[in-house]
Amino acid sequence: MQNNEEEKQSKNKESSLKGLSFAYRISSELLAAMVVSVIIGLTLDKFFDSKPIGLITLIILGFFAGLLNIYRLIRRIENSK
Amino acid sequence: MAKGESPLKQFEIQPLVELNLFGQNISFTNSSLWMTITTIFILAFFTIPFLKSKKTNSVEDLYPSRLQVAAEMGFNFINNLITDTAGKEGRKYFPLVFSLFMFILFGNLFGMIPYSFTFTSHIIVTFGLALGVFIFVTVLGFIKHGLKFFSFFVIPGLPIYMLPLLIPIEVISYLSRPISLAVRLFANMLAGHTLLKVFAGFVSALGFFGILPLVFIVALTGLEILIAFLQAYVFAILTCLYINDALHLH
Repeated sequence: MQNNEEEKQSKNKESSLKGLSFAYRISSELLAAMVVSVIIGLTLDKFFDSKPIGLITLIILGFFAGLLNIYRLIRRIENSK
Repeated sequence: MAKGESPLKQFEIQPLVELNLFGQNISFTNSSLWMTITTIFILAFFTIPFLKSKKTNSVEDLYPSRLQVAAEMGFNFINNLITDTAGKEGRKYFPLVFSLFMFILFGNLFGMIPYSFTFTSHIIVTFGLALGVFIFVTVLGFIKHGLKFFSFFVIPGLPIYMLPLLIPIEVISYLSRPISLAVRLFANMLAGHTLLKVFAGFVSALGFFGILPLVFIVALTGLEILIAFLQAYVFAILTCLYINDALHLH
């Protein structure tokens, strides 16, 4: 009985750890895509002297790129199950 | 932790030997010291058990020593990882993945020793490693596929009018790889170590009730050791996946 309980607890702990690392991965994917797109946007604006337009378009694209990254991550995890 | 010390003080870089080269500061810092210790430890870990077994010719030599078993376990772990994710062609790149994994793993683990320094908690270190992987994978893709490598950014079976929208997205997604790789390791290490120090500050501040955060710190240290392993594993597995992408394109 006690053994069972312990097993349950360790299993719970494991799944919450997995969730934590999963959350870190997802947030870092979204952040990274945003950082890259903002850098590209600002450089494009500096190059063509078109202050907000490049940044705005690249932020929108970067958001979608981040979502694409997350979608691929989740699909990979689903496939490995 | 002394009173009034910031929990972020543990991440400070202190030059141990001041060095200057052509106006560039290349001092030997505490960060470099711990990188050197890590490298020497890894070298020792993988040479000592194999040096010993050659000395005599008795039957006992047929049994591997405990150290040797530990070293071979690490070897097998990464070997299986590469074969599972990148296939047989990926085995050629075993040295890269293995040294990355070992360097990050022991760097993280040595960071858990009190008064030591965690070099993986500096984004420039993790970004340097990630950028190395990124450049390697890109060059590998170009060597293997030539200009066909650019077809990596085009999803097959897509209507042509979608391409102008999706190629930039794919390119951004590709360029974001090294940053997400670097940020993940760095953020995990920074957050964990800061949390440990913050709770350590509570212990002395709460007096008798400081025993509660103390218990928490013990649990948190265990968690941190697990995260140290997990992050090295994630770094290695993503390197394998990127190699797989470069070798096979889609």
